[in-house]
Amino acid sequence: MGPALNFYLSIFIFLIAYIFIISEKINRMIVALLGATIMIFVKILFSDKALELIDWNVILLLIGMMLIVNMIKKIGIFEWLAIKTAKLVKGNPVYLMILLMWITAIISAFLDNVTTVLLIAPVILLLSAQMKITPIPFLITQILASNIGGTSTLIGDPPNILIGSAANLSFMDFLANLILPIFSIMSILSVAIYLIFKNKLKVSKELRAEIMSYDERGIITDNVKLWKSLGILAFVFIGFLLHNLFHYEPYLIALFGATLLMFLLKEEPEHLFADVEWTTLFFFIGLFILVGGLQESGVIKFVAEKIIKLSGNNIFILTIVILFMSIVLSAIVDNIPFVITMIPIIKQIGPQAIENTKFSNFEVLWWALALGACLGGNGTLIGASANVVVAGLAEKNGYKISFVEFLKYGVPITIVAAVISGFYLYFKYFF
Amino acid sequence: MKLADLLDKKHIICNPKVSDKIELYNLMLKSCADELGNISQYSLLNAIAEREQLAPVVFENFALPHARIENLDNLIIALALFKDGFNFDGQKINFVIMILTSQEKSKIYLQTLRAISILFQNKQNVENLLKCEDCDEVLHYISALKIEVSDYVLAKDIMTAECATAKENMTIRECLNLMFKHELSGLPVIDDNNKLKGEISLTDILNIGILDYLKKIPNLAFLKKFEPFEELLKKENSMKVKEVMRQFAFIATPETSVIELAMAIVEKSMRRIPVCDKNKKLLGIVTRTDLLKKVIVG
Repeated sequence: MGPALNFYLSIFIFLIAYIFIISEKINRMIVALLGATIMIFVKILFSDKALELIDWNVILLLIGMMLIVNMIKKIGIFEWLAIKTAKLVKGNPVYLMILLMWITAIISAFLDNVTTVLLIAPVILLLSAQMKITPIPFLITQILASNIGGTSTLIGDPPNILIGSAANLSFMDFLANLILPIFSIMSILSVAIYLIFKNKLKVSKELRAEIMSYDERGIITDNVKLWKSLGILAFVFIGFLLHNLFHYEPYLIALFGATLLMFLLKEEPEHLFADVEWTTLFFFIGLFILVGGLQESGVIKFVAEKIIKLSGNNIFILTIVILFMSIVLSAIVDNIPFVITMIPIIKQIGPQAIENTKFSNFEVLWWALALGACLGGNGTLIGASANVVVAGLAEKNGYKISFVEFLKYGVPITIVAAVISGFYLYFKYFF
Repeated sequence: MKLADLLDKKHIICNPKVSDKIELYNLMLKSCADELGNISQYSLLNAIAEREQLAPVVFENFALPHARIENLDNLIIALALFKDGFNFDGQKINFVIMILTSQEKSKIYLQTLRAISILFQNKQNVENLLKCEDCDEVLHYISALKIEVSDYVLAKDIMTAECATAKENMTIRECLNLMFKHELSGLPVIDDNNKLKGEISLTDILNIGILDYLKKIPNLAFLKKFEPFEELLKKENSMKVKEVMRQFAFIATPETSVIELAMAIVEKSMRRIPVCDKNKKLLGIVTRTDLLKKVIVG
């Protein structure tokens, strides 16, 4: 088949797949994998080339982290933390909300966002039932915190894992570049929450006393497992901080930590591996190949050139456009396909954009993509998986988080996030 | 296979002069000496006594002492008739049927028991058998009846036909009362036409009272005071059985084999299996205890 035909055929296959993924009528993994295999069948891509396009660093890092999470979530550390916090603030609902936000943000920075909120949210439902107040503000702020916190590290959110691997950025690079805007956004959110809710949420002394009577020591039953897990977690954390120094890929740290923990906790691998989210992983694999098809047929190059032309090859304009486009698109569609598509485009435009400028690399574009894709998830109730999952859990327990109710929180915080990210990138790279 | 074919005239004793049960047993065992080979009389009596302690062996006018015997590779039936009755543990009976079978499940054992109870529950048969003068006549009479013994057990053979049922429009309260009355942890649910609709179990009802978020917290040891049944008590009078019931994972027909029943219990973790006809009318129920009592221990 001729190059021109491949060009249009690959766009056709890609767009059809994209439309089905966005419409959510068919399982997204099935669509991505179907599109990917068709790309290979029609010979837009050769099959060995397709295999090269799969970023195994991303896949193996995700598997490693899923395994670690599956082991430690059973121990009860997170539930313990939530109850301990409730007692620490003596059942004061506003302080509880803010502290739980920070806890979730920090945990989400290292673990999968969905898992984090799914561990904390049930405890919130219990606490709010006990305090006789609505759990909805608690749950929504949990979602926001989890998406914000997840933005701060290489392993915090899938877009960052993808970007880190593709751009060869280390765990430390992420932390060093993103911690300041993330901290600022969290702080502004905390102050806003305090001001909004300090007079709204009232809980009687009697109900607070009820919470103080919880015995959180009963939650963690296996102390040996606890300390082994915390030890491995600390080890993995240090491993991530140092991986670049020793030129180890992040996946190695995660897989090593997961395997070691499996050994120490005497876990049954069959069960652990059964809980790995294989559909998510194959969704990634499908997308890598789908986007690879666009690369091979020249579509990515074509789009990149158009973008450079439109932006006048100005790196500042490119940065701001990528940031805002990522925020808006991630708020309404799945951010993973978007990021996987953007990665080769940025790789294509980056070197040209920094020609004849003071920049020695185009890292700023990656940070714009990371901040936009992760923080955009807070825009709407369907912006990120954590949002959907918490809304589902709330509804099952008789509390409906409406789309509009969420927007009241999501839109302001996303605007704040966009403005802070924009100014941050401007002052850091262009001032 | 016919019941008569399982009998041997050597093992039929008419009006023996014995004073007590043990003497009778010894006599009957002696008649089977050829088949029993070198198995000691003592161990046989022991096995029969043990079985008698598990459950009574006297039914109306006949007694059915039976046992599984180690190293026996056969099914032996011995029959004693008493024209004028025999005092068996204080009860007056006319027949004693002793059944000895192998340690492993003898396929025809249960069906033989069924055939024998069919034989003796019929008043006409009892009268005619008691008129017989010798073992030839007895055997002749039984073989003329042509009672069939199939060599496999089916759902219809072991099911409990008179089982308690819940109606789909009952309230949860009424259903709980029914479970309490019958001391059952679950009931099949039927409609007004006796058609099977599903199953309701105590677990499903307790589930109403447990809030969803509590299930997502892996360890509730810190919640000593929490009362989980408020929710259930609130709903038990308004909620209907059909809102809580679930479908049976497996529905048997009268012809379903024991292996299928056992598989459903083991593989699908079922506690009770409904037996229905073609139109889904409920005919009976097979529980795990039915398998225990009627197949495994026998």
